Amino acid sequence: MAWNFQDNLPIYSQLVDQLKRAVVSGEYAPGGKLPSVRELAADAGINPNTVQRAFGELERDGLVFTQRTSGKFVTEDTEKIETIKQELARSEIRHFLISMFSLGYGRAQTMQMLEMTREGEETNAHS
Amino acid sequence: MPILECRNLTKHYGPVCALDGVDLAIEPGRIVGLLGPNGSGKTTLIKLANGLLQPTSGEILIGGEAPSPKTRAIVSYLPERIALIDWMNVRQQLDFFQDFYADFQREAAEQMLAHLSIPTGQTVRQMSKGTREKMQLILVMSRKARLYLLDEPIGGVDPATRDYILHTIISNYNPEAAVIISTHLIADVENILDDVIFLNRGKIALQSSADEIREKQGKSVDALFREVFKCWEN
Amino acid sequence: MLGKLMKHEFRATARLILPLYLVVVALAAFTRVTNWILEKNDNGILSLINGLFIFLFVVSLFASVIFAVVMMITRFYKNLMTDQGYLMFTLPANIHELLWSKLFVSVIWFIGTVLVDLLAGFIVTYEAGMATDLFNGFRDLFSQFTSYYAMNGTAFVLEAILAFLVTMLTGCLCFYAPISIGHSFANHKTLLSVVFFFAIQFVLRILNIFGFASLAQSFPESGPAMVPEQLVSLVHSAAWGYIGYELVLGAILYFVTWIMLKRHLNLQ
Repeated sequence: MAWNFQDNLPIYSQLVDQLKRAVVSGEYAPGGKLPSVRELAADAGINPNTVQRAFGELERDGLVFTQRTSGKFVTEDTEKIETIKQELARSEIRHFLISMFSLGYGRAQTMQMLEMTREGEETNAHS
Repeated sequence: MPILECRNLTKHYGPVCALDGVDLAIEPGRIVGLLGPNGSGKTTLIKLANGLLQPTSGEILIGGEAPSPKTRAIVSYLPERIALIDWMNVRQQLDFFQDFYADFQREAAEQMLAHLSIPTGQTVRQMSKGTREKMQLILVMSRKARLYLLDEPIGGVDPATRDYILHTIISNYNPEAAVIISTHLIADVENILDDVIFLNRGKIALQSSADEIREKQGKSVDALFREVFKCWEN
Repeated sequence: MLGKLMKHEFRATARLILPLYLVVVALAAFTRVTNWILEKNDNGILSLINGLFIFLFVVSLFASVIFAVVMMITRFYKNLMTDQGYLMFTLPANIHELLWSKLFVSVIWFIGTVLVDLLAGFIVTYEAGMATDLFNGFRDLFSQFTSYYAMNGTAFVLEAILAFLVTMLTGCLCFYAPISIGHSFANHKTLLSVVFFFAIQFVLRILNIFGFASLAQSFPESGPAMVPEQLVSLVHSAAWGYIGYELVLGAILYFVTWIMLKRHLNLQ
């Protein structure tokens, strides 16, 4: 798993975000085992306490559960995963819209741009 | 109980004040960055923790006790200088550490030596500076100590070794031990730090968790450091 | 911890001095062999070689003593005052243990050097029956002493050994103290160490003068006409006086060294 941390945001919240994405994309399969705190910390080059904190938050959100002596596992609740997926998607869209607004595109214009781009890609795909 | 505690710790070298009323408590399980410009008192603090220096006033406590041979048995110190015995070869250095330190883990050390391709027959005298630094780090990190004091651990090594060193610090993580890293290469280490302490002219300028700085200030620890210790005025 | 420090100290120094011991003994052997050959058939070249060996042998005797002293000094300096100090002073050992490990091992090498030199001397000069002659000679001397009053012979031997040991220990400390003082400064460490060495030596010379003066004063009026018993007891008190003096001196120098290393250690 390729980790990418920005230096001006708390690492733990970035980690929570990236872990959610990994679950949603299926990289960590539902019911699958997560790497141990130490493994993940070493792999990502970050502090184990940070990893612990991130896992804690994911557990509170119900995305991850701990099985004593076996470690941490992704939930098998596919509905839960779907909810998270939608949350992440909505967050992406919000960010996208904010970006477009800062470029000067209103909502209607943004939708137009999206259509144009989609058509353009379809034409390219056919030719 | 904090593994390292300073109570109004002050150290004067003649007229110069190296540390001025420092209050600090570091709990086990934390990786702490001791950050500050040259002359800020970082090395003085570390030397006091080792018993190499005596405080002028105030106290420094390791696991609740003043520095002594007993506390040195649980403190693993990586000095800024190369403190290896030059006529010894690798095997003899391992013997030495094993002899004096009950918490030395020889197999771990040998494994790391293999990872870094350091030949066991070589004497310290024959080693390059980079190899000596790696050797010293391996010896220090192979001890299962309660407090690690690393004075500029990544200063003189290449980026790949730097990564290996940080990786070793993380993999050695022990919730009953604390690691104090004194450095000015902040950008390289900040991701592995729990907490940071900014030291300026013998006083603590800032003490916070690394994530809190990023959250509250919206910038990296490195960026904040540059701001706090700006050398010129606009 | 003291045992471990001494073990390490031996390892670090044996690798330097044992080869020298070997050289001394080898030269003694070569000298003896060429002496023997020369006796049988005199020869210009042979006597030249023989002369060379004798010369080298004598040089090696001096060298071994000088080397033991120099090694004691450089060992203290290198192991405790240079970067190696960062390793040594952070070991789980206290300063007393660090100091005594060096003192004990240095004295042992001094004794070793004397023994090796004596052995080499025997190798060169040994003749049949020499050992028995020497032994008898010592025994006669011993009984002569004892005839004055019991325990005298053993007392002298004891005093001689003690005096020797105490002189060796204080001798080492005469170097350890100024080195540790000199190195407590930030600059000119070596220069200051040398300065303090001579300063201490200067003070010692003056004390010696006072010591001899008071000794001469306490010498009884009836000096030349003294009975052997009086002479013997005088020698005993002189011996113990000397031992006491060296012990006090050694204690002061030890304390100075210890306090410099504990409170004023200035590793750069």
